[in-house]
Amino acid sequence: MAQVSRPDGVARRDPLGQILLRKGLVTGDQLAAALETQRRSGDRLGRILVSLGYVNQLAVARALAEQFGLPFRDLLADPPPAELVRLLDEDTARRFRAVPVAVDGDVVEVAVADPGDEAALVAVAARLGRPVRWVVTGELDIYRTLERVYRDVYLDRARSDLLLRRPDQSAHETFTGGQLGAALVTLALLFIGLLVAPRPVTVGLSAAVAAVYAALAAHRLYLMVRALTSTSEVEVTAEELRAIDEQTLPEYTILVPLYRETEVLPALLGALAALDYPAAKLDIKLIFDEDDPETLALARRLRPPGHFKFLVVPSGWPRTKPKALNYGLIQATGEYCVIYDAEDIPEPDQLKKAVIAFRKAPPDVVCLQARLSFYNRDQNALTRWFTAEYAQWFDLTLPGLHATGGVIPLGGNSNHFITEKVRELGAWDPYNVTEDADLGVRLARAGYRTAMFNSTTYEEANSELANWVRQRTRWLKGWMQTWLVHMRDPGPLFKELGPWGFLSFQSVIGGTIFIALANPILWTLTTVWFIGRWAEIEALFPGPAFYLTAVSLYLGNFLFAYLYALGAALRGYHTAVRYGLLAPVYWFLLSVAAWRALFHLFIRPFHWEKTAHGLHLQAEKASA
Amino acid sequence: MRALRRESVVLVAVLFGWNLGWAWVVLVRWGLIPADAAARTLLAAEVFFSRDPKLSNLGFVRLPLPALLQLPLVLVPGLWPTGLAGATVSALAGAAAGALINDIARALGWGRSRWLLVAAFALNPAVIYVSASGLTEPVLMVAALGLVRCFLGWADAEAKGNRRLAVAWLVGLGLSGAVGVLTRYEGWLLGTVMALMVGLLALKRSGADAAQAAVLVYAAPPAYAVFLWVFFNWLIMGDPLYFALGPYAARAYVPAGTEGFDPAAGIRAVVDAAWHLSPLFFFATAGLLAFSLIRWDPVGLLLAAFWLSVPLFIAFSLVSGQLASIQYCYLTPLIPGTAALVALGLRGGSAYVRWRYLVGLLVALLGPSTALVGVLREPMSANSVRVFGEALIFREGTSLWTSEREMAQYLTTAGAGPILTDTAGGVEMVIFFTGEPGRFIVPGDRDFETVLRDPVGKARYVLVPAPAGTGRLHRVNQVYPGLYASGAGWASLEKEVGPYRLYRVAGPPPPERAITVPPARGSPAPGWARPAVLVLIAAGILVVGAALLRPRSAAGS
Repeated sequence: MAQVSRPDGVARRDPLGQILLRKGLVTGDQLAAALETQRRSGDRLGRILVSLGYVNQLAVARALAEQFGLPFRDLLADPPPAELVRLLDEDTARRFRAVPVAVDGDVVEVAVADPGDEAALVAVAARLGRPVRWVVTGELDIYRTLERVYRDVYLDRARSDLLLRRPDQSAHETFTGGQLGAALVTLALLFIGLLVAPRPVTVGLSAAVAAVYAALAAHRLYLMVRALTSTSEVEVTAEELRAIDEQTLPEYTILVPLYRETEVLPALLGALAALDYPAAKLDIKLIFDEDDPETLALARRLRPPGHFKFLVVPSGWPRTKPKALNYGLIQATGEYCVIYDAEDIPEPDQLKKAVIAFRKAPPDVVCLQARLSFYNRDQNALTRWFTAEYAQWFDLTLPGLHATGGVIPLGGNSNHFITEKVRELGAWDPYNVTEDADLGVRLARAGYRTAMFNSTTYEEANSELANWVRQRTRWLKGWMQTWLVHMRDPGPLFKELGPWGFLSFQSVIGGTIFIALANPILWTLTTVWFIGRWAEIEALFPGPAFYLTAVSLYLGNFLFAYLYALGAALRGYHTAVRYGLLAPVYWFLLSVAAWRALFHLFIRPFHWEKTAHGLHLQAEKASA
Repeated sequence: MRALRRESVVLVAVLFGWNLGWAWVVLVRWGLIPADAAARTLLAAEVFFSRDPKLSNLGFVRLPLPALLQLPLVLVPGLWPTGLAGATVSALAGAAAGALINDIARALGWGRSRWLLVAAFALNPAVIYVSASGLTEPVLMVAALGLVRCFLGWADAEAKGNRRLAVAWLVGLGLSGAVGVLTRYEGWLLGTVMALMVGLLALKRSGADAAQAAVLVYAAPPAYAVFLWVFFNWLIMGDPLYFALGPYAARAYVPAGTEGFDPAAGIRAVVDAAWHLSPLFFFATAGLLAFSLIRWDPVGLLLAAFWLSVPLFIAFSLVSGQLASIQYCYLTPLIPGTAALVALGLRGGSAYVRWRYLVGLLVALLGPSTALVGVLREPMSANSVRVFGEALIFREGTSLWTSEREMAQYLTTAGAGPILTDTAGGVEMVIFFTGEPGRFIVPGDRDFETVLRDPVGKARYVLVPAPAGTGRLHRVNQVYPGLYASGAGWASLEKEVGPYRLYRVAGPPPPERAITVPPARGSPAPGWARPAVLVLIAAGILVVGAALLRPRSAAGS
């Protein structure tokens, strides 16, 4: 045992770096670089060396064992039995990175990743309530052991946690009995009304539709004005970024669910490696599906640095992204967590900005949403429309909601959370195919807020029509699920969101669905009237209903298209501006997706239609 | 920012009160309502009170915004027949224009001396006249000044790289442009000139793509407004260019109103009118051009060109025959233009402070006084303007629209029954003064042509102006050319006042306010349509119902 007594009698151990250097596992330059990083970030040297890729976790574990004069145990080569691992509860084990590996009489042998963490050792010993003998093992091996032993528990929690805690907020049931009853009664009344008094019923319907359209347009106009005229995000300045002390940065979990993503995985790993954040403080979880060995195999071949952890979700129903996220969240160790998709390229300083933004934001802000944009904006007309749409959403609508205290439906990725809070909320609903939007509503209902901040993640705009329709079908289906879930009991929803939040929920989520579904009917009526000038169609819109409908048609549609153009202009995407003005063509596709979504809601509500990624790479190859 | 907003609100309130006070004097005490103002108010009133109330009664010749703005006001009992409904809009617009001048000058670095420019504007008799009488020029002034203000804001934000602020200003620019194009046809010119300005500046600073994007963001609202105007002309009147080529378009008045028309004289009239309305306009433009060239300031150059386009356009319209004559009112935008040009010319650092006071004082003194001389002289303009000038000096009203008021008074006390007529030839003033548009069968009514072809049993009276000048455009004179001179077998002369003759239609009196409206323009749908739609809806309901009732389990579905 390498132990040197200090003059004051306290045993002094060889520094870890020296041990590794002596063993020839690191070079002098590597050690110097790691020590410089440690000076800046204040993190443990072993983790730094692993994150920099200089050594693997087992080498660090062996060196730590030598440093502390403790035995080393390889948990993969010599896995402990599950019943022994379960002597310590999973939460404590994960938090303090310790697993019981053997029992000798009354003494429990516990493998730890950091024998120098005295607080952890005390806590584990107290938890066990028995004498403990320590051994050292690799940090990753501890997590792998826990996953091996508890995977069924994790899986069960991943798909049932919210359902058990808040069944009223889980989309496991598409329609409640009450909703079914109300819908059937409404349909029956409509049917009878059309038979008995078709004219008043149809006129009433058309007037109601016109009123809804007008209200939605007015709301969007208001959001636009507020977005343009007020500060609607948490701004992090360049000076604040420069001044940040990396030693104060907390651990950050990055959850990256992956399913059939071999095309974009290399770029993703590069983007994550490029993040400007102390690597040793990153808890990156690449979450694979057991049914997708190809992506896992590729990831292994690419050999990302040691702070990238692989999790494999056991196959099982439902196979959805939120279930994978929940599986990863259970094992998250970061104070904050963020979700990135496979095709994402976040700005390198996004995590630091998020930390600063959280510190500046009021305490009820538990989520920060970065803006999303695309790196293949100009690939074709579809990507330009998509770009304009995203620009108006993230640069006008969401900031407008933020400025007006409305409910913000989260984007699919680049949502940064306080980890503890997202657990408190029940994490993501595995039965909702837009788990992001749903979580945004749930956190608002719980009295928390989402804020925007000035960072952007670039992702791939869907460039192929059928793929786009599938993606948009899922999004709209998920919004339908979200609306149905939260409207199961409108009274508590109104009370929790407040009148303005309730209205903005109806407008943004309900309104988007409504417009997409209603547009084809109204456009058909309008087109038939222009061609045939049928008096019966004129009769559907008498008096004020006609004027309201005309305002919605001529002004409302222009406004929505103008918002697309404005969003593109705000982002400086000049070529997308004119596509924004041509948005009505794009809306036709939205309506196709909306009706498809409605159909899927009835027949396959939980089915996750996978979006193919990497199409832009194929296009680049084709044009090269 | 809050203090600035408060200042603007206070300024608008003060100027609005000033203009409304004058409105009461001009319209109620002196009775000097201009025909154009009365016409707009009448159009707004006809939306609600005509025999065939509908929004399209606003017509498709005059641009709709000024009348649209009056719609809520004409519902106030007694407000519109005095002309105060229109005057409320013009007074508010005049006040807003003054506040915009203040804001422009402040943004250009003027201190309290900017109030001299505002005073020069508010005290200008021509501005008082247009703001107090319900004319549409104040709304155009607001649009023009809005364009200038937003252009300055956009140019500044764009130069500083503040994209959010630049886009916000572009939206304001677009809204100002839309207001302009829906107010007067000069607004189409100003909107187009502004598009060129935005494009040129953005092209110079940021390249072609950025220029295209900026122009699109700015131009979308006004361009769409023009599209809607043309579209509704096509949809309702059957001709997309009805406003330009139809029987009541300005072109129709050119041969009718001006015999012996001389384009060169027209151009001289423009210069003369501009000189008398705002002589400082020429100096201010020349000064700004000179300063902008010396400092090489594209923004100043572009804004000088912007204001110059107003008199140039009027001159072009005269020369090309689009306009029969000009009225001083057309050039009143030059007055706020002068203020804006002066503010632009003397923008910048403290070196100009004393100059600002001096020049501001000059503008404040000269502007109103020369305009007063101008309105008195006016070689080619409406009587009402000169009469206003005289009334201003002599503090007394003179009679205006005497014949129209007398005929209106007669109609009000005469027997009941609908009156067949058209609005051309000055008749709209008669209708206006009766305050009862519901009594008149006019071209806007869907049964007008039916009644016109056979008035007996459908109209009680027929009112026609003398078939000279614009009276030749009167529809009744066109269908019955001899009626005015010698009546007809079915009509006997009831009353003659000035150029107007009222004929009583023979036969039994028709029901009051009777309207025989033809069926809706649409044609009936084919026989299969209704059952097909009902079947479709029923099928949809049944499918959805079945889907809702379909048993399902959470697992695997």
